[in-house]
Formats: sequence, structure tokens, C-alpha cells
Amino acid sequence: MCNIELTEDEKDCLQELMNVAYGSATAAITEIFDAFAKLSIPTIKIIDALYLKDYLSHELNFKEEHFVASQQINGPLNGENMFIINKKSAANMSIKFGFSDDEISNEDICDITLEITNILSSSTISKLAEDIKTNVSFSAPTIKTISSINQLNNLFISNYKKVIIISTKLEFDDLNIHAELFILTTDNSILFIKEKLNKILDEL
Amino acid sequence: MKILVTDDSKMARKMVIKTLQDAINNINYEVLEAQNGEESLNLYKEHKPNIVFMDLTMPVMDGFEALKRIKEFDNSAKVIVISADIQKQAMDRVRELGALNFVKKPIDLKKMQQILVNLIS
Repeated sequence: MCNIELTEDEKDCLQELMNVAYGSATAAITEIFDAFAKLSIPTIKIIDALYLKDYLSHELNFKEEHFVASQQINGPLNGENMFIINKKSAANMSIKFGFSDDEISNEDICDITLEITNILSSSTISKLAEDIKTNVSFSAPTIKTISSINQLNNLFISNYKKVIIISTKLEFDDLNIHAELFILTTDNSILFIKEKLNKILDEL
Repeated sequence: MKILVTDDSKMARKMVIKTLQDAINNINYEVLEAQNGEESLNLYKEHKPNIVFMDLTMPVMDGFEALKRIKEFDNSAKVIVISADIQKQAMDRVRELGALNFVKKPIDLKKMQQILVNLIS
């Protein structure tokens, strides 16, 4: 196994690229909502894929129902976007789209969450891909509801040894919408990203 | 001339400093670096830099608060916000707080030159 760790400088560089990428994506979302969103500093971690569920379980409160929307990323930057939002936030997001409280169905909420995931995830990754000079393509996002971490069947758990987790929070304080975007990449992608980050760092 | 660059990312600070180097000719300048808004405010009070480049999303004290407090300390402070948070509301807020300009990250050479020309002239 090659060295799948990031040095402090590499981590800082990736965090900064993600900050810029996520900023662009969030601006697109806030235009849709016409509301101010708070950006969090992206957190970058590389963990054993076996511990992914433990990690998510610790980060999110799975006592309540969550919508999990996933989208595959294909290309040298290979992996998965995972947008996780609790049901209350997802419902608030739907109300902001013009639905009234009593007419929202789970299907509507899923549709809206998928759309937001698509915009947020693909804008973020497209910007990151542009900055590290590569190309990516996306599969259509899929969504499911889970009320326990054990219901999360993620392909990374079985297919990869390590995952890089880039997590950011999307918070619309006024609307009571809180969500997290996780970007999970494969072992080979981590090495690809390292190479690109070092190229950027060498040029500074 | 003293220039204060504020960003929690070392890489982001380096990028601003490199663009500064490329943009500045024949002017002696000193660069000060701050990792968050609080450090920036303290360095501002101590050194009174001619220009401050300020990120928004930072730990300890964010750029909005730092900008507000620097302007309270010195109403003539020249603060340029450089941020990935390009939401209209964020831009409006920093302008209300007295920022001289709002630049989308990463700042490019042309924008840096424009800013410096405006400030120096």
C-alpha cells in the first residue's frame, strides 16, 4: 500500500481548494433560496473505510430520520458525494421552495433534496476539478431515508481500504436548515489528489 | 508600506503574498501574516498596516467581526476582503462594515494590480 496520508501542507492546500469550491456552490444554492448561508471551514480526514460508519455515527445525530443523497464521481478524481440532511431541515428546505407544511410528501422532499445535492455536489467537485486541472463526470444522484447508521450501505465500506472525508456544513440560520456534505474518494484518488496538491504547492 | 494578510490557510496566505510580489514593482513593502480575525485585529492595532487582506471564514474570530472591530479602531483602515463566500448577502455585509473591496478567491494578478493602483494613487 502506498502512503495514503496527507501532510499538513497538503491538507491545508486541499482545505483551501475545498473552501473556494464550496463557496461557489453555496452561492449558487443561496441564489435559489434567497437566504444567507453560513459556511463552515471544511474538515479533511483520511480514515480506514471500516470506520466510516463509526465516524458518521459520531458526526451526525441518527436518533432522527435523515435523507442521504449520494452521487458517484467518475474520472481520475473518483469517489462519491454524500449529502446528509435531517428530515426537519429537508422539510424546511421544501417549504422554502413554496410547498406548504401540510402538502409536503416524502417524495417532494426527496425530489428537492436530490436537486440541491446535484447543484451543491457537482458545483463543488467541478470547481475542485478545475483547480487541480482534471475532468470529472457525475452519475445521477440517488436518495434514501435512514434512521440508523446500520441502514447506510455505502460502497466504500466494502471496496476501499481508506477514504478521504471532506466534510462541510451548510447552515441557513434563519431557515433552520442544517446539512452536511461529505466527499469520499478512493485510494487511487487520494494519491492523485496528493500529486496535484504538491504541484500547486511547488508553484507557490 | 505594511500589508497585513489574514487567512487561516497558510496556502491562501502564500497565494496572496505571491500575487502581491508579482504585482508590486519598485515599492518597499513589509508583509505581516495573521491566522484569524483576532490575530489580525491585534496586529492591526500594533502596526497600523496600510492595507489589510481579510478572509471571512476563520476560526477564533471570523472576518466579518475582525473587519468591524478594525474599522471601529480606525475608521480609515483599508480592508480588502478575499473570500470564497461569494454570496450577495456576504458582499453586502462586508461593504456595510466598511470594506474597501470584495474579491473572490483566489485573487488574480490583474485584480491585485487594480487594487494596488487604486490605493496608491
